[in-house]
Amino acid sequence: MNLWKRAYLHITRKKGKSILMFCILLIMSTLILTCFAIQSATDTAAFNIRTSLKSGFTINAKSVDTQLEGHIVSGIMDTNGIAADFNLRSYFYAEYYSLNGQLLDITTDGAIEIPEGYEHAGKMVSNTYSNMDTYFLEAGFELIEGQHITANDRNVIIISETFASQNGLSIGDTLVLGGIGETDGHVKVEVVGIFKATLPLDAGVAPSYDLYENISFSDNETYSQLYYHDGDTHYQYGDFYVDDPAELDTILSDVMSISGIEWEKCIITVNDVDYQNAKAILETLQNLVTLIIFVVIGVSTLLLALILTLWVKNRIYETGILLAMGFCKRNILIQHLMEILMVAFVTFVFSFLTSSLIAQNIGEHLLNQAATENQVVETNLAEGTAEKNTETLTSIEVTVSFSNLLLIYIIGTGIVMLSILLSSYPIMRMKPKEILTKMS
Amino acid sequence: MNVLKRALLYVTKKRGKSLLLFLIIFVISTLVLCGLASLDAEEESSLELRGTTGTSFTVARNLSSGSWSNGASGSYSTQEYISNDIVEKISNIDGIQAYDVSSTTILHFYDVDGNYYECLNPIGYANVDCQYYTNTSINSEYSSLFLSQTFSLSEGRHIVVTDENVVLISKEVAKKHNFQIGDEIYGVIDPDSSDPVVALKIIGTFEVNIDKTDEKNNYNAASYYDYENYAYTDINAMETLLTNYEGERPSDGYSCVDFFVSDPETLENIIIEAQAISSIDWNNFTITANDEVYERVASSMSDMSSLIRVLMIIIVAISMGIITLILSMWLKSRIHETGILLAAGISKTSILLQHILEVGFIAFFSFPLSYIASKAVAGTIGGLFEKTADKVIVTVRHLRLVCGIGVIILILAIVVSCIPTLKLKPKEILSKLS
Repeated sequence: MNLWKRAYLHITRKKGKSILMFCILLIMSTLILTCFAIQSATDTAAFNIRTSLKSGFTINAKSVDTQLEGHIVSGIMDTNGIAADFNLRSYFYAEYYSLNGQLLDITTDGAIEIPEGYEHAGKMVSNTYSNMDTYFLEAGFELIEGQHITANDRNVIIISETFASQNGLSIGDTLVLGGIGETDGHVKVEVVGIFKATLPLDAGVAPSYDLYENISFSDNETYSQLYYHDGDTHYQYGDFYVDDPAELDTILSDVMSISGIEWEKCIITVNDVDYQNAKAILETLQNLVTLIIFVVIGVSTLLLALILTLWVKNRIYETGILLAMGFCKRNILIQHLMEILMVAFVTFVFSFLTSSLIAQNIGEHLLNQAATENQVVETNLAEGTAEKNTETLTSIEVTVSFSNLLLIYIIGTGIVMLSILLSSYPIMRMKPKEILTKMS
Repeated sequence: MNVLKRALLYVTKKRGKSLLLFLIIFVISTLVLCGLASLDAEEESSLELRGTTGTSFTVARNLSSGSWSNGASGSYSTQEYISNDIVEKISNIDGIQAYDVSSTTILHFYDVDGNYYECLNPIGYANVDCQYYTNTSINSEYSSLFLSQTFSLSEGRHIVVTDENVVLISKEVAKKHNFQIGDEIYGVIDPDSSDPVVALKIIGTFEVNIDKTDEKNNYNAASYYDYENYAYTDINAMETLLTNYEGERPSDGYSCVDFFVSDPETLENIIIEAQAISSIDWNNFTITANDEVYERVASSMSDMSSLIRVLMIIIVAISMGIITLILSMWLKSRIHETGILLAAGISKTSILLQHILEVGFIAFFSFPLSYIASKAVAGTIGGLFEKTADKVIVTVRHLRLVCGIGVIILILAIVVSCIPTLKLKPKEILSKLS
């Protein structure tokens, strides 16, 4: 009877044993494959956490003659790893005129002084997105009418409630801004929004232009036309964000290699406090997963070796008979190997299915959980702080990758062969007679 | 021969097999112990991770529900202030890690001889150049500028609730005047009045990390002071300094207080608990949750911990499955023996008990040893990842769990895998063998 046939017969006749071995191999390979799938999913989750901790940097280019120019900003936005949201801003002063050239009134009550040349002027802030301005985020400004300024707006203005009523301005009206100082630029702007200050100005010493009533918001184009009128857009400050705060340093050095601006004159501030706070503990969690996977792989290898030893040990009797029948030791050893490998082969195919199934279940479990959590967030904490940015997150996929599968097959086969060789060694060393006498 | 003796003899005579089973139980229980310890470590780390989002809630005077009055400096709200009593009651709620008040006063600093300490970047007016923008703080570590890392402590320590007459100043100012930690400086609100002068001990200096020239911060009075000219002092000192300022002293109450929670998940419940304190008239105060950062990361954080938890659960469950399978394999190879024992007139219960005792003997040694081994494994492998090692701690509680559940699983596995054999008659068993 040839080797193959013997191995095949053994598997099919000893069904119970084969099924057991199949189960053990299946469970182990499923376990390891699932571990790998979960590990890569936790890496995605960790990446999502880092992304959500919104880190970035601010470039202060106020001391550079041309400041931040449009092409520099596009260069930065094209840098790998820069997130899509950004805000560009400038701070300046402008005189307010009506469309027919008359100077408009500003509030002077409560001002410590009205500096010369600023009798009809106010502080202006230009933003790519005015809702991201600190006046709205921190100083308690609220838009009561109209719309916030966004990236596509040109020559628009948001004014205070008081300033609007003082000068009879409403949404859709046009006024003229005049530059102060060396510039003589004039720009027509349309009122698109009206704000109200909900908190009092916490400053006893503010000059007239800093009073909340005299402040207005505009777009970066208006600022550039007023103070540069060279056709290009200029920005004093740029706030940029990165997808992965762990890459912030690399991205920053990439950004600073963009030519066309005197980087040494810029002040760059990194904003990644939240990430820095979470960093160490986040790494601990990821290490925990790696740690447990190491333990699982180690334990599985050991277990498999032990079980195979048990399996070979149980077959001393049979081995003795075969040897007595004149089969060479190598032949018997190969038979044992063949048996296990045949089972292992079937197992590996199945383990892909089982681990994929488990992975899919975990994935769905996470989705359901996220769905219920969203509901909770929406129903509670109605103050409106819960603004989720889930759309920018990478969706977590718990999947068994082909490369992991291949790895398991190769390593698994290796372990099986090694264990059988090692556990067969003591038996194979003995003479058939010794083996058979040992049995009784 | 009684059951105990038979079991003992089997285990000692079949040394190889016993050793194998011992190793298998040992290895699996080590894995389960590591898994359980990691599960605890995950819980602790996730809590800590959530804690890093600095989630808090702010209690403030509700200006819209209070009435207003007019005075020399314009109209002001007559709304109730947040008294120390209220602060204490709220801070006693479980889960509140710390709290801080935020109020600012301009202080003049000078030395024992009455010479002013000039601030950084003086503008040339003597009466302005020794003014410091001073925050009153209970736990300065939790004041907003320190939390946002605008400032970081560079030397000394933070102000805590028990401090009296202490001050934190910037490193630059300390350098300019050669101040050392422990030096005393004198502070007063209005040097030209009868305001009390308080000797303040410098307990720490802070470093400024942020570009103050960025005009985005220039929306209030604070913008007129360089960050280097900021200072922090405690409420006791401020109480004395403000002696002449009725209504502004810390004992008169605060206009807003931030309470920091250790776990953002509990924020809602803590707020509800605070609102249930009957002695506080919540009509006079507002509560705002500051949990933007947490809300942004909450779902990813919970994904992460569910993934890890699922991983551990799978590992523990599969370990149980494996041990059951191995035991049935072990018992299957003993059909021959079982048949003989039955033929010898030994009852089925006795045989079953023997099997259980055998495994029991082995497990008795495996479990404690796996406790030691898992501690070592967690230590060595954890050591590769520095901080992780401190978190994965195998405790006696884990061992108890493994022993308890382990014994039940072992017995169940033996009983289940013995059923087919024991159902057969001795003759059937023996004939099945050939």
